[in-house]
Amino acid sequence: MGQRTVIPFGPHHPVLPEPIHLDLVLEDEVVVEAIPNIGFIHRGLELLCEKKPYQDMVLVAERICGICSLIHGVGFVQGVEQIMDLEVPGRAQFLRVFWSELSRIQSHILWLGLAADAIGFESLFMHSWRVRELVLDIFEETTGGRVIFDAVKVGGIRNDISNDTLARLAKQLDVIESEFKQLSDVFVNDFTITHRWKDVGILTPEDAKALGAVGPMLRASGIASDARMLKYSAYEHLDFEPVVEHGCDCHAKAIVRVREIFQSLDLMRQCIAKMPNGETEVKVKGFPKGEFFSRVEQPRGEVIYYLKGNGTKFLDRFRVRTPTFANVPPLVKTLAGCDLADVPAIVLAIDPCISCTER
Amino acid sequence: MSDLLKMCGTIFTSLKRKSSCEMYPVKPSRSYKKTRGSIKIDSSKCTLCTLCDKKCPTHAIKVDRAAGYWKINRGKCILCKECVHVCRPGSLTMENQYMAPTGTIQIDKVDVELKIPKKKEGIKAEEKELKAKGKVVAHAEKAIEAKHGAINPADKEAVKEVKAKVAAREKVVEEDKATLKSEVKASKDIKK
Amino acid sequence: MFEKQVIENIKKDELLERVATFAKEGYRLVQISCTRLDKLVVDYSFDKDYKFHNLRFELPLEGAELPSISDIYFASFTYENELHDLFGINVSGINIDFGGKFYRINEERPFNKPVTKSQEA
Repeated sequence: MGQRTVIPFGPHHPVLPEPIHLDLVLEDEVVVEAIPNIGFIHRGLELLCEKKPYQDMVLVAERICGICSLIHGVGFVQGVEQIMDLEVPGRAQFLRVFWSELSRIQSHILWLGLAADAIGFESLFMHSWRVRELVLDIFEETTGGRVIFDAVKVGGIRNDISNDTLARLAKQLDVIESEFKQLSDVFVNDFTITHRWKDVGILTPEDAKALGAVGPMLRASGIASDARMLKYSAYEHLDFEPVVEHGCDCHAKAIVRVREIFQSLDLMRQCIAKMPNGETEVKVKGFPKGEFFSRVEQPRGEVIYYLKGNGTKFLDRFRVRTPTFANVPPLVKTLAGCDLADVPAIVLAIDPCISCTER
Repeated sequence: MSDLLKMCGTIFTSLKRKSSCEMYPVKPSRSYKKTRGSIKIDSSKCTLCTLCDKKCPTHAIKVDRAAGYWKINRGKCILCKECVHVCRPGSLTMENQYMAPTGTIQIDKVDVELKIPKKKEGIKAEEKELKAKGKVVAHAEKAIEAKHGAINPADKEAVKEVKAKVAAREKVVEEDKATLKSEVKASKDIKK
Repeated sequence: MFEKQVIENIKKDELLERVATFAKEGYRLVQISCTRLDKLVVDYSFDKDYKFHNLRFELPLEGAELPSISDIYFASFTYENELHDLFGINVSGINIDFGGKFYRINEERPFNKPVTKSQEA
């Protein structure tokens, strides 16, 4: 029986994009237990719903996180619209899906770059983020912002994209796909990457189901579960299946994200082809009264919003349970039994978005 | 060997293409028509209606009608464009370039003259002129004539009659009010 | 989202029994949340094959107590520690109990301040 030491991992670590603290209990370089700790970036955003009118809360919801900002806005706005029984026009729904899928591509490329940087492959990190710039240019052209978009509002969307712009963007998507194809080949087949990521951080399908994992963590273990299959917004008109891998390790999670980028590009092309003409918003009268659980698929998994209105312009409760919060118990389980050198790769494999976790 | 050749395509294109980095802030950053950079005010068009103050979600804009200024706290502004949408005279616009970073939070204050809109001024001048000439042509009548054609003189007479009746009725009401006031005062004096 | 959402009101004593039935039928724990009105309303949400089922019961504002479900669902420790740190609900028997230190924040139960202070705010 070796000697046990406790090593603190985080909140500052070169690998972590956001602060999380883990106490790693080691026995001769093998992690026996990991105890997580959060709260470094807790801003209490949920309480702001009692002070800001519900239309301004969309702006707050978008600023919960920088990487998954648009989909937070979409989830909140869908919840309020279901409470108030608003019928959002088709063009607004399709444009929301267009931007959501673009947001998913941006988030996955960001993660792939960070994961490559974590194992020391810095040039691949730079190339991934160079391709990500092409995606951010599309965002800036259509919404005005690169990271925070302010693109949705209760009842519809704020900006419209003309059909000519959409046709031009469809060609831009081909450029992004061809640029990314070269990089995806490296992520899937390169010897260094497979050597670092294969058989590391294994999460069996039974554990994934029992611990409540969501998103690519779950789909890399062979379980086909994707909140987009709830067919909210314009997804009921689009054709797709959840992307599933059976490797259960970090490499399988990376492959799931690479394949999801190609799936999102395809979904965006379907959106452009099926885009209806018409209004982009509907007039909103009155205040929300009622409650609703709104579930949306973020790049990291399933996010659930609980909204409760009491008939005034302030909401009673705005509760967000983000996917990283649900992925913390599986993280604790996968860290048990791994080597100390593999800890950064495993922590990054859940795609930690701690600003979302702590709101 | 094939592993080494995988990145070759990307490497050779990178050597040929120009840098993806921008020389910001030495050169202005590449921006699009919709890019949200900073809020700019044209004080000659501003009417100090204070709608932007009421709509701003972070209370970054402060407008004072009495003192005559429009102030924005650049640190609080989140570039949501609500003020630009709600500004009726169109004095607020969204610039495409970001503000340069500063060491302290920047608060920009612009003095704005409280002015009466030209249209109203013109109408007031016209009415003054006509009053002096002894003729009062209601602006409303002019507008109706412009939209629907000349008003029937018979209708004009009918309107005049109704207006006279209303004036007479109002006079009676005023007299009643005056008598009531004096009665109340008298009863109060008696109580004292 | 367009699925039928079932919200069921139960009594606090039935909680462990109902949760055990859900676990046996293969439901996944989605979230545990709490709303502060004039009392605390606690929601336990479950999902299976995109069908959503929610159990709801009420607790008093002060001195609320709950049994933990972490024997049945291991992953519930994060939600129960959050309930304790943010709302001041005493959850007994959590498998990984942080004792109030899960959220490293300075204030005690910021989401459930005693009534006088929030009235002033």
